This record gives sequence, C-alpha cells and structure tokens, in this order.
Amino acid sequence: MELLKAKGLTKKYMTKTVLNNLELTLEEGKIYGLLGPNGSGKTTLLKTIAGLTRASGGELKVNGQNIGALSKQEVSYLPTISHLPKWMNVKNCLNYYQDFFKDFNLELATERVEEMGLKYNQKVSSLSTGMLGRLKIALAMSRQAKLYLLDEPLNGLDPISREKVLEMILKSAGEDSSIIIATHLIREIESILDEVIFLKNGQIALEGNVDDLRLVKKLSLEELYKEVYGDA
Amino acid sequence: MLNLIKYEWLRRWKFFLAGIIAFLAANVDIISRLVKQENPTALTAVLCGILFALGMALVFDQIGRIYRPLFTDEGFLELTLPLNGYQYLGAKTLAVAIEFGAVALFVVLVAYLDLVYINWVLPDWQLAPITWAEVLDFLQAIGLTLGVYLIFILMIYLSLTLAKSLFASLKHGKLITFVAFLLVFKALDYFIDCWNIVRGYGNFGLSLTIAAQDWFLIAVVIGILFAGTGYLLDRKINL
Repeated sequence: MELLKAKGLTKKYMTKTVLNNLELTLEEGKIYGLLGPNGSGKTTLLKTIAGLTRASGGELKVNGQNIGALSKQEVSYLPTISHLPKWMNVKNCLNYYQDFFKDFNLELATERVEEMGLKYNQKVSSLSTGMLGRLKIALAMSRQAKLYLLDEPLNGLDPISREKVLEMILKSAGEDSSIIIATHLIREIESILDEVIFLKNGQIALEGNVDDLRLVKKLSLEELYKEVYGDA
Repeated sequence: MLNLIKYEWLRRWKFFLAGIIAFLAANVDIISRLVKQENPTALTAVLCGILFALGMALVFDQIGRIYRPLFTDEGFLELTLPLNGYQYLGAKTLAVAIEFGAVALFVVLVAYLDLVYINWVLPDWQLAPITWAEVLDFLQAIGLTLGVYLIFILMIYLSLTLAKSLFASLKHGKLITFVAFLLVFKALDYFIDCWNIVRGYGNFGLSLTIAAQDWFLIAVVIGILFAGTGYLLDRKINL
C-alpha cells in the first residue's frame, strides 16, 4: 500500500533549487536507502516530510494526509543533529515521548534503553556522541509510527554503536511501516535495504529494488553510487 | 498542548524557586527594617538587584521559548510534535500568561501578609480598609499590564517566526525581520494613538478605568498577532 506520495515536490531557497519537481512513491513494509552526495537534497526531503520545512511547490502526502499535525502523528523523525533538550535526563526523554506521541511504547523504549547501556539519570548533555546516538534511535524507533525518517543514523558512531543501531532498525521494521535511511555509509546499511533512491540535484537519478539493481547492473550499491555520482 | 506547558515548567522549576526565595528574603529584610525603622542596607540592595535580574531573566527566557526551537537544534524535536502551529503557540503564550498571573498573585499575597503583619506589630499604623472598587481597579491594572505584555511578547514571537518562515531564505533575513518588528511596533503605536484620540483619552494612553471597547482592542491586537504567528508556524516554517 502507498505510504508516501510526492508529486512535483519543489523546494527553493531564493535562487537555489534543492528539490526539483520530485516524484516519489513509497510503499509500506520496506526499508528505503536515500543516497546522494552533500547538497543533493536528502536532508531537505526528510525535513519536508517531517514538517520542519515547507515545500515551495508540488504535493506531498503521508498516508493520505497533507503535512501537518496529523501527519506528524504518523512520522517518527531522527535528525542528524542532537535535538534532545540538554537539561533532560534519559528518564525525562522517555516521559517526554510518552506524553507527546500516542504511538510511543514506553515498555519497549525502556527495554531498548537498557539494551543500549544507558542509565535513566544520565543527562543528555553528559552523553557521548555514541550514547546520544543510541538514545536518539531508541526513542525514535520505539514509536509505532507508519514512517521512520532516519537522517544519517550512523554518523559519528563507533562500530559497536553502529551494530546496535542497525539491529534496532531491523527489529523495528514492520509490515505496515516503512523506514527511510539517508546516509553516506552505504556499505554499512546495504544489507538491510530493500529499496534504494539516488538523489541528484534535487531529483531522483535512480531508484529501485536493491537486489534487482545489483542483478541488472552487476554492481554493488557502493559501485553503483560511484557510477551515478562519478561526475559530482 | 498542556504537556508542552508542563515541560516548560519542569525545565525551569529551579529558576522559579530561586525567584521565590530571593523575593521572600528581600521582603523579610525590607519589612523587618521598616518595623524597626532602620535604613536599608547593602544586603537589601543586593537582594533587590537579584530580584530585578531574575525578572529580566524571566522576560528573556520567555522570549527564548520561541527563539530556541526556531534557531537552535531543539526545534527538530519540538516542531515535529503532533501539534499545529496554533496549539504550539497557544501553549507557549498560555504559559507566559499563567506565569505573569502567578507572579502578580504571589506579590499581592505577600504584600497583603506584610500589611497584616505591620498592622499587628505597629498598631499605630492602622491602614484604611481596602474597598471593592480599589480591588477592581487593581485587577484592571493587572489585566491591562498583562494584555500589553502579551502584545509585546507576541510581537517578538511574530518577528522571530518571520525570520524562520517568509524571510528564511533571504540573505539578510534577520535584519529584515528586525526592521519588520520596528514597523509593526510603529504601526501599533500609531494605531493606539489614533484609538486614544477617538476615545478621547489624553497622551498617556488608556486610563486606569478601562472601557469594554479598550479590552476589545487589546483582545483584537493579541488575536491578530497570535493568528499571524500561528499561521506562519503551521504553514510556512523553514528550519
């Protein structure tokens, strides 16, 4: 079933066009890799879906809803930056998500926080990059959302944290929800992706099923990336 | 929406506690010296200075409640909450109004207890009983101050939101926003001057006895600022 539909989606900043008449359809139950070099529009696309940036033109719907308070109930967004308030501790963060998101599973989150080796009284400001990354992913993936938007979830994480984060993403993947992962670390995520979208200059340069692309092009995703962006 | 207010206060309870302690300490110092008919000391001045600083800090903090989500990374959490722009702004504005009311109530309560205490220890200082008319005048003054303060806060919220919505992609967006703030301020000032002339008030603005039309004017200005800012937060945001 169709989960996200973008028709002629455009985002302009003065003279710069970041998303250029983008056409995109995402289906339920899949993990999508959103790939592209810096400035290709990955983060802008995720921010637009999350409702942090408004499109300059075109149409964008999540589960049939225009972007707004209702679509935000269905979308779980993990930004690349540290968005959790520094005054909070881990326990506050769990309560915050519980208070605001109806689909937040506190029990699951508590379990995951413990799995990740986090302590409840640890302040966000005192967490290392790796621990903060683990907390962010535990919170975002403990929502029973329809669509998960993960912007560079592995950035700045050590190999052990990366492994834990990937494990959690896989555990969270459901039949009626989808995950979009924007990243540069293709080799690390290649094995968990169902579909891949290559963005170039705000447009889709190539998209398709990962296995099919590998078979047809006889290339790994990383090699395919180099082929698509060779001139970038 | 109420959850947002809850977290605004959870974040600041230590700050409010510090304010209450400083206020009570200054009050005890001033009243005890008044009763003993002693001059204020350096401690009184320091306590009053702390209180003034805390008051200013609260004003800046209330401005920061929209600044932080719009201009720092915290917005990536707050602005993805399932609230529309009006609910979000409503929570922030309501928190400011409740804090204003709570501070006013606290100050009045302490002042009343001071009066009772002074009457008790200094029977010669019998004060005239407070009439209902005086209470009503006082409440009107508090209401008017709150209305004007909310207009001021909402004007700043509108300016900050403009910088992260309509002017977000402009090179000098913040500067343009500041100019927009001054223009809105000037326009509002002019509008109130005209209103004063129409209503036959003097140059000092609204009188203490406020007519229903004046309350209506305040409500309309607050409504326009609120609706404009809420709309921008809901439909035009560009983080």
